[in-house]
Amino acid sequence: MTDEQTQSLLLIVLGATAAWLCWTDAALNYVRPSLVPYVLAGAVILLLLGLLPPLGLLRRRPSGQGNGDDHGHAGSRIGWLLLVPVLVVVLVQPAALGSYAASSRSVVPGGSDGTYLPLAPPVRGAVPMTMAEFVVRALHDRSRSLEGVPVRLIGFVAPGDGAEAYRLTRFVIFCCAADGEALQVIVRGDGTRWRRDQWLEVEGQWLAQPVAAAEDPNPPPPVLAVDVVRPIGQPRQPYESSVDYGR
Amino acid sequence: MRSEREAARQATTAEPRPGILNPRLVVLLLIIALGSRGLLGGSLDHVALRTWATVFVAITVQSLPFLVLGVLVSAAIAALVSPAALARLLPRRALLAVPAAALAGTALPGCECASVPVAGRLTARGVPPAAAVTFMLAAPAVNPVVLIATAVAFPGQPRMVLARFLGSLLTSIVVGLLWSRLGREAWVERARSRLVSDGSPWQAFTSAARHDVYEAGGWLVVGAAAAATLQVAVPRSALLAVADHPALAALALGALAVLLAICSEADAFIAASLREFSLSARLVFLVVGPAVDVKLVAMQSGVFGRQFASRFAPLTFAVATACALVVGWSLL
Repeated sequence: MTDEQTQSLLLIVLGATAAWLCWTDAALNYVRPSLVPYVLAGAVILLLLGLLPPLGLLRRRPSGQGNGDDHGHAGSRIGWLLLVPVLVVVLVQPAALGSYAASSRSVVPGGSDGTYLPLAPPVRGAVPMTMAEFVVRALHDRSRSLEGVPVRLIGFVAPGDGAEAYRLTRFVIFCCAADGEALQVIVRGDGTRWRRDQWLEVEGQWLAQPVAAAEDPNPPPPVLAVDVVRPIGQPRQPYESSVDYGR
Repeated sequence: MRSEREAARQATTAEPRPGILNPRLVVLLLIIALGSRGLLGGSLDHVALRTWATVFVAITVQSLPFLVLGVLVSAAIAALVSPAALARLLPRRALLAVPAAALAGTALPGCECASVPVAGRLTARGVPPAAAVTFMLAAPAVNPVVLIATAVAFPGQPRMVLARFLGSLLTSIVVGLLWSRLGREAWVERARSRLVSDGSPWQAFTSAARHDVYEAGGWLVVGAAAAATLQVAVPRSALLAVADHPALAALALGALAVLLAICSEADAFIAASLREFSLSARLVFLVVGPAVDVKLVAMQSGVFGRQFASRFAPLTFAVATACALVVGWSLL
């Protein structure tokens, strides 16, 4: 029965880890917020499946019967790998994707030529907006709704190309961090040497450029001339998860 | 971490000795890990490792609810659906059973991780493998959730949604028909041999669920680790070199779908951002992704056996690429 106990223990440990990730919001480093309740439900079911035999709800089967014991062993051995994500979570503390991943995942979102909704009203002198909205409007909005508008963006520091000071960066995810794409804005007017991955809240204005040509698949990122730069902690939701890039 | 992982690996490859498969070892490993908590993340400034860890845990956590859902359905099939009832439901001839299975798949919004254990249990309950694999390919690829996500990712291009629907449906049916001709019973023996424990339906349900989550979950971890490693090791920009060559571009995006192993509800957004590539090449990415990727190959080799996976993966990759290109060239 040792096998069955091991099985139970592994299911409980995995379920408990997943539940803990959801409970502490650490799960937001991995999946989009709307998925968290489902992860929690899955974790609870894993816990229940693990707890069933110890609680005596599932009576012990006579040994050597049922469940194809010859490959039941193979099953129990592969199941040991369920411990790997638990160990990774414990040993490498949960962290969101950062500037290292940004270098190979940087994208320039496509946009429609259609109409854009009016901007949100300014709060404390600047319009707060997601990185996705800023980048899409800057590159694709023919009515140039960003021109002359002070905006407030949140992102982390990633190194820029050549003479650029740094790029304010934020990941957009659709399901989980594996499909994350990095949105970047080139920052002008801030001489501070921030360390990589420092989270910043910046206020500034878009340095107007012509709208990207529709056939150009890879226009350069938009430029923001900043007035105010405030270092902040990592937001509760490190990723943006607007599925439609704020269109 | 390495030593613990190696210990876990060794435990998985060693002969099943009761001394190794011991719950005390689990507890011991956990205590060691908790004692050195944060050691790797904190002291080593190893950004590649941290990125790997984030992607690996993300794939595992994201798949968890879908895996559990699939396991519950597969356990219900094991406990409640008799082989005779299934035989009555499905047409006897492969020519009819395969399209029927494809249609059943379109109605069920599932993720690819959920459909593998379900297809395994269907096979165990006597469903012809050709119909089971058709269901396994159709369920994650052509359901309403995936099609809506595709429509959102490609605004103003409804042909992309239609092309994805047709390409994936065609792939699942062609693979199923080919399998009914070429497939051998010996290749799915592992799935067939999953017996259900005697006793009440509740006992059969729980023991099947435990067994499936344990096994499919273990293989999911293998697949997630492989996908995370490939994601960190192969930069996406490496692909751009072939973007202008039609045939190579299609193959490159097919290969990218295999190694990224992202969920079928998210892949349309990635495809939308691969604007250097033609629409046909991006369609290949969307049709191949839910059908074959490293995570799925790992899970299929666990549920159906290595003999199955080593034949099914290349067959599916070839058929999916061809179907996507045919549909893409005629529609897009």
